[in-house]
Amino acid sequence: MKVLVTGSDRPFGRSVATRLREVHDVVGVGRGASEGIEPVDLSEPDQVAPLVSGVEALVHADAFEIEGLSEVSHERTLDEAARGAYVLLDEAQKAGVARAVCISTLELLRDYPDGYVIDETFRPRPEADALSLAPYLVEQTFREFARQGPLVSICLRFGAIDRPDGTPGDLAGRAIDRALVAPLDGTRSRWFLYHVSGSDRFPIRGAKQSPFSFETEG
Amino acid sequence: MSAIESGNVAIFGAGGPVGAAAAEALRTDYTLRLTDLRSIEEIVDEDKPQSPAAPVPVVPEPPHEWRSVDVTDYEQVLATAAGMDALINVTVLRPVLVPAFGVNTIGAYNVMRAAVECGIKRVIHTGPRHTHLDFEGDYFSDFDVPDEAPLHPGSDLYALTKYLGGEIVRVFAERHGIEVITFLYCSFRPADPPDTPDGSGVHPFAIAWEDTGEPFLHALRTEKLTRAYEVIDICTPLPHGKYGTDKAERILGWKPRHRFERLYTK
Repeated sequence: MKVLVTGSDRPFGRSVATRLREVHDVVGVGRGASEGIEPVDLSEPDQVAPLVSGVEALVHADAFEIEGLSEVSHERTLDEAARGAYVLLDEAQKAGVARAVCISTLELLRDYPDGYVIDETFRPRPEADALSLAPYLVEQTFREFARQGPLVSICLRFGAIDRPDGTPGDLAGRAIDRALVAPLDGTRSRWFLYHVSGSDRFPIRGAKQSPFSFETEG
Repeated sequence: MSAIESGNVAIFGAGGPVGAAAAEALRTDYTLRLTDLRSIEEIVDEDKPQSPAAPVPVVPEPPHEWRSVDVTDYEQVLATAAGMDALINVTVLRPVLVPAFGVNTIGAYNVMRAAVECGIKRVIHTGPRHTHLDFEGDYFSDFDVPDEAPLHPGSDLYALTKYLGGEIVRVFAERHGIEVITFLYCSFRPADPPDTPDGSGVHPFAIAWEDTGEPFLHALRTEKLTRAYEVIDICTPLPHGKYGTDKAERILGWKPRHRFERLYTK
C-alpha cells in the first residue's frame, strides 16, 4: 500500500520509512531537508493535501523525538505539533485515507511511581512544558478524529528506541508493521492505543489481544 | 486557597462580549489591565456588538488601563501578567486555522506559563461546551450531563483547539498548584429578547448576557475549590434536564438571575 511517513528527517522516522519500503510504497517527509526527504510544513494544508492524495495509510512520527527540534522556540514547536496533527488528519480524511498510526511516547506516563505497572488505561501525565505537551496534544487530536470518524487511528506509545528500559527498534518496527495491517476495520472502535516496550513497567498487554493480536516474537 | 478579594487583574480578550461583561463586574473592586489584540478605540469606533444585546467594552478610566496584546506572543503576555494577582483568559478565535491554534491553544499555554513565571495563583480560563457536534460522542441525547463530563470536540477546529488549550491549562494547574477555574459556555442571549415570541424555545445550555459577568467576581473570591482545576458550566437552570447549576452554586455561590421562562412557556 502507499504509506506516508512523517518525521522522516529524524532517526526514528527515517528507520521506519526504510523498513516499510521493503513492503510498501513509502513517501517520507520531514520538517527539514535530508537525503531523500522533502521538507514539508505539516501545519500548512496546501503542502499536506498533495502528500496524502492516493495514500492508504499514514504513520505520524513527527512528534516522536521532538526534543531534537531545539532550534525553534517551544511555543512554535507546540503549535506546529498540534496544528500539524490537525492538518494532516483533516487532509487525510478528505483524501479518503483509511488508517492513521500515531507514534507517541511512554514518557507521558513516566511520572507515575517506579513500582507501578502501567497499562493503557492510565491517564497521561505530561509535564507543563511544550516538549512534553506536544506528543500529548497530538495523541488527543488523533483520538478526537477517530471519535468522529471515519478515520481509524492506532496510537503506539514507545519508550526511547534501543535504550535500556525503552523499546527495541525491531519491536517498534514490527508494531508499526502490524498497525498497518491488523484487522481493525470491522470492529466497533476507531481508536486503538497500545504500549510497546521492552520494560516490565510498561508491559505489552493490550497489543497482544484481539483485534491487534501483536506477536512480540519476530 | 488563594481567594483574590482585591488587587490587580488582567483580562485577555477584553474586547469581546464575555470580557466586556467581566470587566463591568470587576471594575469596582479590582484594578483591571484590559487587553485585546485590537485597541479599545478601534473596537469602540466599530460599534458592533457580537450579537443583539451582547456587551461591548468601554474605554477604561484610571486606575484601569487598556493594552493591545497579542496572546500568541509570550513576551507580550508575560509583560501583561507582571504585577497581577489573577489572570482571566476569555480569548477565542473560531474559524481560521492558524489563529485558532495560535489563540485557543498556544495562547492558553502562554497565559499559564506567564502565571507560573509571575507567581500568580489564580487563573480563570474559558471555553465552549459544544452540545451538538453531529456525531455520536457529543452527549446531545443525554440528560444530567455533569460539569465534569469530558469534552468530546471531535475534529471541529474551534472545539478541538479550545479543548487542547484547556488540557494545557489543566496540566499547568496540576503541576504548579495554580488554582484554575474554567468556565464553559454554549448559548448566550438577551435575558428578555423583545422580538422573540413566547414559547419559541431556548437552547438547553444557555445564559443571559446580563448574567455573564458576575461569575468572574465569584470565581476570584471563592475559597471552596477542592482541587487545582475546576470546570464549571455557566448556564441557567432550565427544565430540559440536560445541564445544571449545582456546581456553580456550590463552588462559586452564584445563581443566574435570568431563567428564560417566557421562552419555554406559552
